[in-house]
Amino acid sequence: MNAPNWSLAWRLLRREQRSGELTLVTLAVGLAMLAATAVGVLTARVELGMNMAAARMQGGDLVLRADQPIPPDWSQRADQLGVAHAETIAFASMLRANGQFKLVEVKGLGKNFPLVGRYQLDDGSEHSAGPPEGQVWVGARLARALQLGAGDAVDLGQTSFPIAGIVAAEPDAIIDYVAATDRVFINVADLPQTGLIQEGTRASWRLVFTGQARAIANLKSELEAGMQRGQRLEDGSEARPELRQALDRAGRFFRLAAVLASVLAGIAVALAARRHAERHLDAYAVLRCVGARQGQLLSLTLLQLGGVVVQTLLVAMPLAWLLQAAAAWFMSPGLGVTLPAAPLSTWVGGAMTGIVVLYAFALPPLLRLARVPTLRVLRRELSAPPLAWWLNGGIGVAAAIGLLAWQAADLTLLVSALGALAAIALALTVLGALLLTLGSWWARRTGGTLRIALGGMRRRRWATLGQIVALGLGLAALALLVMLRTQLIDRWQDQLPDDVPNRFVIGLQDEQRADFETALAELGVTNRGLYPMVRGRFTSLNGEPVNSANYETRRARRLAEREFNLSFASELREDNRIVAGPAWDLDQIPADALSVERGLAERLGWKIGDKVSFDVGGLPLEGTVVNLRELDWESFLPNFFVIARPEAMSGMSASWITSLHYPESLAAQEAQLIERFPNMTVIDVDALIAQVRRTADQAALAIQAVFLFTVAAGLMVLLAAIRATTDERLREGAILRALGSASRQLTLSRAAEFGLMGAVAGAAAALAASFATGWLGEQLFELPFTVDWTTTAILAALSAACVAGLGLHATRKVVRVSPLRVLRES
Amino acid sequence: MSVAVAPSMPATSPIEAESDAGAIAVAATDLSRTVHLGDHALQILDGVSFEIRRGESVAIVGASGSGKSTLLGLLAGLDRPTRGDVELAGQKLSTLDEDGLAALRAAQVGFVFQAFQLLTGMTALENVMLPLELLGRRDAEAEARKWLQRVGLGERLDHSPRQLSGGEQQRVAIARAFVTRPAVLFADEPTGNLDTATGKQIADLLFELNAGGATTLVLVTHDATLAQRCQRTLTLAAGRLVDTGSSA
Repeated sequence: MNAPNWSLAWRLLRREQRSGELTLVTLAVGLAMLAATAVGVLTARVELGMNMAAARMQGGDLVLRADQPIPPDWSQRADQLGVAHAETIAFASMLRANGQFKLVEVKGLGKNFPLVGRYQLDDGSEHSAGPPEGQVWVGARLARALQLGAGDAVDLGQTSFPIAGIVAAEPDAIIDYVAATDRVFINVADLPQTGLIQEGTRASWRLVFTGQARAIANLKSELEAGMQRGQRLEDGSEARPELRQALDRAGRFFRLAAVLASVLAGIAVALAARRHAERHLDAYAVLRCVGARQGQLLSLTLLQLGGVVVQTLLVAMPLAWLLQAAAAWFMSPGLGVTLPAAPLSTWVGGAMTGIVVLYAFALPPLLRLARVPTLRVLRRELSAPPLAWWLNGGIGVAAAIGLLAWQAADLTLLVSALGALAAIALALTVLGALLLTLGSWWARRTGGTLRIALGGMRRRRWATLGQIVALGLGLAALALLVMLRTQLIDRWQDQLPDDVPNRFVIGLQDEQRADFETALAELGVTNRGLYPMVRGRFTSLNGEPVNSANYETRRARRLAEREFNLSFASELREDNRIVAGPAWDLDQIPADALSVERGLAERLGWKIGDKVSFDVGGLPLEGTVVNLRELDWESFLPNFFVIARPEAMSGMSASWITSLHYPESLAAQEAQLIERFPNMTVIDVDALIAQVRRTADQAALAIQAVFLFTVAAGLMVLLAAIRATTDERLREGAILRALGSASRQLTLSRAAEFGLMGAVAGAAAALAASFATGWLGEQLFELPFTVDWTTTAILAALSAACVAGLGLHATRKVVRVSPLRVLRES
Repeated sequence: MSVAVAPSMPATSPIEAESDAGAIAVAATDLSRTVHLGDHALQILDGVSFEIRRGESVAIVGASGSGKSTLLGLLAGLDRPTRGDVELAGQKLSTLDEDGLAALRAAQVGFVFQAFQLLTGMTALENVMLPLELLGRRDAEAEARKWLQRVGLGERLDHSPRQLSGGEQQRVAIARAFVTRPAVLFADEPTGNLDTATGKQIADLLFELNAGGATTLVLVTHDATLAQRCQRTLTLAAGRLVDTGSSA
């Protein structure tokens, strides 16, 4: 008799669904599942796709770097996995041409390189392979410096090579534009005859891979496990900050929307389950009366919920697949890659979200149902005893927080979202209680319709308060997302105006600054300021020499190994936002002060007050971290990880860097500018800007789509909250009609009651959401704190109208169905 | 009389240890029930004792508020007395926990209520199958069909309670009450919601089935005619048993 009674559970479930009893619960759970899965999978795919796109900027999906020749094992393994691979070698050497010597970077290109992208020569031709054997290409800057052209000869080591072309653009140069240097490109097969690669030559070997996402992932995990000393793996996860920042924000918005949709779905489930439980007290009492044990009732409940899970899984998961596939198809062109499949865990996670939402929010009211006293069959006024608080609310809240923590995958996001919701709920409770108190007072002093409305609210004071809080939470979440979404999209539009810098100019010398600025003025190009830059290697922290092996993450290890950009400034640009420590005021900060980018400090474990040392071209630079900055990577202005006081870098040879908006109309004059400053390098980021712009546009559209999930969840809360008291209203309405109340009076009193609740919930929600938006915007999206009063007023009015309309519709039976029927059925 | 014990009842079920104490189906001993309303204690039943023999039909009558329904609830194990005990089908109810009481009701007790208490989400057939399904009986559907035929609703199997008249709903409730062939059937104002003619038909059905199956019938009623059809009437006044005489 303790065995679960599957057929009975199935029959009950089928009946309940046929009668629409569980429709709202099923819809809300399905929506939570759909939103969590589609958003989770899409975000994971975009993340992977972004890494892939970034990795491709370095020539392939995955790059193995080494300071020694890479043994052929990995190439063979790549062949086995069906992954294409290519090799490059880079080293510094002296080149002789036209009787001049020049230190250059020699880049040996193996067969198949580049695996993705093309080399572009100055004659407009594009090449998907390096120079043929016996010939070289040279970089444009080197060609200018030594006045070389196609057909000229250059000497490298023991061999002389004819120049086959001048390289205008490299497929893998954009990744680290500030390291751009004079390059010569040679077929790797020609390297032995130059005699430049000897035992102990300092060179960088790269093995670049590209292939199917799954094969790349397999190879990556094998490489990570089998890498040797001096080898390092790059997958692009640290590249492209401009693109990443736009997508990170979109990703955060997606997750926030999904978190809010789940919470709202949970509230709708809880409200609907509570009503379901209330309506089933009699049935469960009868079941107990005819001999069902508590355990049986419990298993019946669990099985019915299991049935809901199965149904939602069957519908929500295929829908989630379709939605994310459509969104991925839509976003792929922007990233320039086919988005790889998301890991299975994201699918499982999405499904689990729905399941947890159902059990955490629906189970407590249904558990109470199993405890209904059997005597209720004789005495209808008896209800089920309340559950212990920890069972009633605790489990739901704990499970929901755990779930959301997992779904948000971001503590700040979770704490911010929950904090905002909790604050809104508190504000709503206070305002709701105030309304009830005032209403109660007013009810005694008024008459007619308003008195009936206010009296109804007073009688159902807890239900009314619950409805106001639930309605308000639903509306607040919607308002929050409307406001955030508007701000986010506006920001993207502001961020990438038509005159966003599209050229980075590097390598200017100190003495050229004035000339360069004059040249810009002559051309009518806006000068956005020249910034000094030195390249330095991090050598010690608080006196301890740096050992990159001590860093846990690959990214940190790489940062500790590579040179990065240092600068000096007497004041910081506005978009460098200090997030810790004092302002950069030369009168207040010490002589050795350093201002550090927050992300870099976090990865390398630097704190304010730490002493850090660098090696800048053989000169030591020591300083104390005084503040941390956040940078705006979408500004397309030069950004620096570390900034010192100007005098701290005196004596170090700094080159100057700037970014410009170079209009299309001045294309003809660009070559003259480059000729006038032959040592500078101009990097064209038009393509990157176009990509960021396209990505932001697509993210904005995707945000609208994801937002719809939350709108749907919000509507469900509205509906569930209104339906929560429908039965009671029907009964009261029937009695009032039986006593002679006119339909018009009843309709007006209901409209007044719902309208008042809607107005209070809407105004409180919109106001709270407005503040929360300001706060969340600052916390999560780096948007300035603003309170949107217009939207607040519009939302309050809309909410009053919507709630009154929906409420009247949901309780239309009050005046439509005969009072006798209502009274009989109740 | 033999007691129908479901085949799936656990071997250790207290109900199987039915006493041979003979012919007593229900025995109330010094039964009292007090409820507290704030500081005020309200004595609803006070020291009620009686016995009902197997197969007997007994009406419990009394004015409104005399404690009839409370007594019925206590006799059926739906509520616990403040003092005293009930022995039902040879089992002292005070020795059973909630699940033990549920098992006892499932196997030995049937109910008919004034408000019918059918599950509105289920058809007539499903309502009657319910007690058998809870017992894990595989023949639930066949048995339920048989009983619905017997109460004259063979053509209305798939109708939901909302599609049935009051009298028809009560017939379904009676079929549901008898389908497990209970040792004792408790009825709370079984004709209270019905017009006189329908009430009489229902009463006829109840007594006919009772006579056929030798079930003990305990009913609470205001209806003197119905009470007179029982072999005995217990009269309550202000929570006390004032008459245990027979009306038969």
